[in-house]
Amino acid sequence: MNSQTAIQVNHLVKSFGANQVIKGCDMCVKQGSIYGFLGANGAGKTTVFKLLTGLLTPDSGSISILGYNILKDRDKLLSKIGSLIEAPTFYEHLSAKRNLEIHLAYMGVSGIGVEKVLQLVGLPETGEKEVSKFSLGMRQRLGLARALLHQPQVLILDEPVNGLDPMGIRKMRELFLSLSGESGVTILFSSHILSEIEHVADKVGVIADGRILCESDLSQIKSEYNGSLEDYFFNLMSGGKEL
Amino acid sequence: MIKLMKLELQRINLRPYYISSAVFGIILLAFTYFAAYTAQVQQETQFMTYANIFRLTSVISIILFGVLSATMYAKLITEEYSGKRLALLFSYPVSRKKIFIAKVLVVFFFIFISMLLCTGISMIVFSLTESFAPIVTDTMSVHLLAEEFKMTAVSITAISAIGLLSLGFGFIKKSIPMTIISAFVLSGIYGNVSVGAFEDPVITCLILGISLASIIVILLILLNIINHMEVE
Repeated sequence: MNSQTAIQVNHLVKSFGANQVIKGCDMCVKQGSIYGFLGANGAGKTTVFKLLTGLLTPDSGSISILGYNILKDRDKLLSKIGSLIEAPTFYEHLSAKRNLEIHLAYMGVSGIGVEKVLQLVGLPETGEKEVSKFSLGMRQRLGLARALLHQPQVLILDEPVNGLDPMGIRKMRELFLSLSGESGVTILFSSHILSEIEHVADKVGVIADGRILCESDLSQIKSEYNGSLEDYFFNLMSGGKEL
Repeated sequence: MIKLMKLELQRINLRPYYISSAVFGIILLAFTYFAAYTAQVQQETQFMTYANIFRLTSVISIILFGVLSATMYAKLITEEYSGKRLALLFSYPVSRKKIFIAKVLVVFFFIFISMLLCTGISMIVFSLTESFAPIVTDTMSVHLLAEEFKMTAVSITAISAIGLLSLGFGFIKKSIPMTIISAFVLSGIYGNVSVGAFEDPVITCLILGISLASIIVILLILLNIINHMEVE
């Protein structure tokens, strides 16, 4: 792994009982880049994200993030990662602000500030509101706020625009581009919305049946497939050639 | 560890447990008067002494706080480690073992303080009223009260062990009802054993020894499980 690589995954294997879900997965994400992770339902995207964040332990293979091994340096690494995996959970009886303050206290840093991060994700003036009263979209935004709050170097986001309205989706898109471009944050995110990946990703990885079929630069895909990520994706899923 | 315990206190809603403790305090006080009054009216010689009245109250206290302790462990630990919030808990860059110990200590201190306060207040209030309007014909002494406080201290240690053992059963089975039923059964057994044996220092030491050994064993087992736990 060279100094330009933020995430390096080699020959990752994970089974649940007799069912092998991840079958020798390899992945490479450059520092400061935006990596779009594509795959059908049940392909293994969330499982890979859980392995990357230490929520699952691989049967074999290696995961290195920012030069740290997730199995050996889990606690050290978790302070450098911001994650949103599946539906975010909160302390429902507490306000949004209190939830974020508690998160910061556990992270042991001062972060970018609770008010600022709420502003960034489009939740100004909601800090005092109890989370149990939040809508699905607001919860998703708050989950993103929590992932960003402690200024992580790597963001791992599973379907981050789920439940967001079109304005919210555009805001997130701009936010991801600014985090990557201006702050050098590495972003790995999955989405079912191909246009979302098309708008922000530098590189695209496609997973099917627990294996990464292909990792390609978006610019290369666009030039090869007349600017259509959709054509590339469906071609790959139907057994077409890799780039 | 203190910082982690403070964070636990901020995250959890203790209001239902404060209310439960206050209700238990009232129940204990009412039960003490009820036992004293009934014994006089029914001429139950066995319960016409302060020592036996306090002993009976102590058994009720053990069952009430044993179940409260298990309920807290079930809600604050079993539920968190078997529910959706586990991913959040495991995303913090803090040792999983330390977070677990912090949770256990929060429940331990809560039960310790609330049981001591509830039992103590009911004993003190009853003793005060007995000094000017006695129901029981027995003589109250400082030595008797000191003995009762010693018994309460032993009971708190035993309740911690009962709570943790119940947590262990419930945690392994990922079941809140299992935690609470185990606590109820164990508290009942312990209450029955202790009611006749507290004056014997050997039995007291045995209860303390078994309790402490159980606490250590169950903590080690649970810490090992948690350290290797996965969020599927």
